[in-house]
Amino acid sequence: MRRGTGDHEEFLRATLRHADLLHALAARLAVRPADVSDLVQETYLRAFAAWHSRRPDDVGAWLATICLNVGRDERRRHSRRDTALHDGPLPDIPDRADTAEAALERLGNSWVETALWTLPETQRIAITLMDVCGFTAAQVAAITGAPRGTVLARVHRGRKALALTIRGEPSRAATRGAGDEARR
Amino acid sequence: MKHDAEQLAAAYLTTMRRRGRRRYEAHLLACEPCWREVCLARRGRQLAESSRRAAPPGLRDDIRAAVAAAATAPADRPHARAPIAFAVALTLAMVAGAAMVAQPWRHGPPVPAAPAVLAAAVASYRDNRLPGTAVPGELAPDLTGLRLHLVGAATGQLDGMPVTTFTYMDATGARLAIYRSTRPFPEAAEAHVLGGEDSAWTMRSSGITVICARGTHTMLLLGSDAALVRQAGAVLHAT
Repeated sequence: MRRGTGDHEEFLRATLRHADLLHALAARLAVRPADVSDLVQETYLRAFAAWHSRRPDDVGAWLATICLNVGRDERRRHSRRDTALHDGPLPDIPDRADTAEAALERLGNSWVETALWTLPETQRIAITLMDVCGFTAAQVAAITGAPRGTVLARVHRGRKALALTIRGEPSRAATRGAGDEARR
Repeated sequence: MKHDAEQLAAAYLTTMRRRGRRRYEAHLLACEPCWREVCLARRGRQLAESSRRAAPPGLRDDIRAAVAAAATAPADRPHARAPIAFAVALTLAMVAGAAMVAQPWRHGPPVPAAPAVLAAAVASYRDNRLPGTAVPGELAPDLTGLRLHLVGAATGQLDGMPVTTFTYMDATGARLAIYRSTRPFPEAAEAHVLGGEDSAWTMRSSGITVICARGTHTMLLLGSDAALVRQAGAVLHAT
């Protein structure tokens, strides 16, 4: 049995616009950076195989769910993930005197990526789905199968941990100072 | 004032409505723990958002090529494992069936059940856990038409209500669960009826769609993918 050309064209029209978000999600799931594109492709192939039997209401969330499952399958195959995470040196932590903006400029994306990988997986996935992919809390709850309150807690704790990782663990005084400054 | 600074800040940065936000912003000016929570979470969100990047330029072309190749290749036999699963289910049913007393499937007296049974079903689905370990005395419904293959089956109890459960999965990892009972499932207060008298009803809970079959209301279908649950309902003549 062969599927028609129209079928796969329709599939691509409906799904290709989500390639950026799937790539972002796959980048936080893949065992190795080189696996990211493979993970995205595998997601599309599984989605295409299922496209025949149904059309999802929310294509982006559906693709993200498949991507999470593909990522989990891959991880099971590469159980050495934990050690791979810490291959290579971590970037230097910026001086505490840096403002967050200056730190961001100096660090660039790679440090943020590294910091994201230091978070527990549930927090990393929740942050990626919400802050990077742009899903709502309700969508993230549906994608991950976690209650919405749990999703919000994971996102919030992950964001805090990310901020603290970038700044170094701030003292209470330092935090208070930053707060006072921001209030002015 | 006693309050959960973390919970309030999390809501403020995501789902809090305008009126609540105004009140909370006034509160922020006087509450250092809340202010600190919000500052840190905002910074974290900004950091996460700064890592957004477009996919590499060649990725879309690679996807097009891979999907086009899959479209022209002979389709795989859908769910080669499904016949095995059904053979296993059939064998189990034959063994168990000989030992079990016939169940009064449609004629059992309706026993009032607490709505907690629905919460228990949702929790069971969400945690991907079967409500018992006994071998079912009935065959699993055939959902291969939806490319769903059987991954689990058990008889047990949900909040004291006897149920037989069948769980399915497709190639994308999407899951569906069917709960059957000899008693009707109670209708949730938030349920939407899908027709007239004795019709099926549906509800959403924690991102999970629930459909209770029409007629005797003795079957529940649960899944995160609403479209899939609806399709399964149609295949099983539940809606």
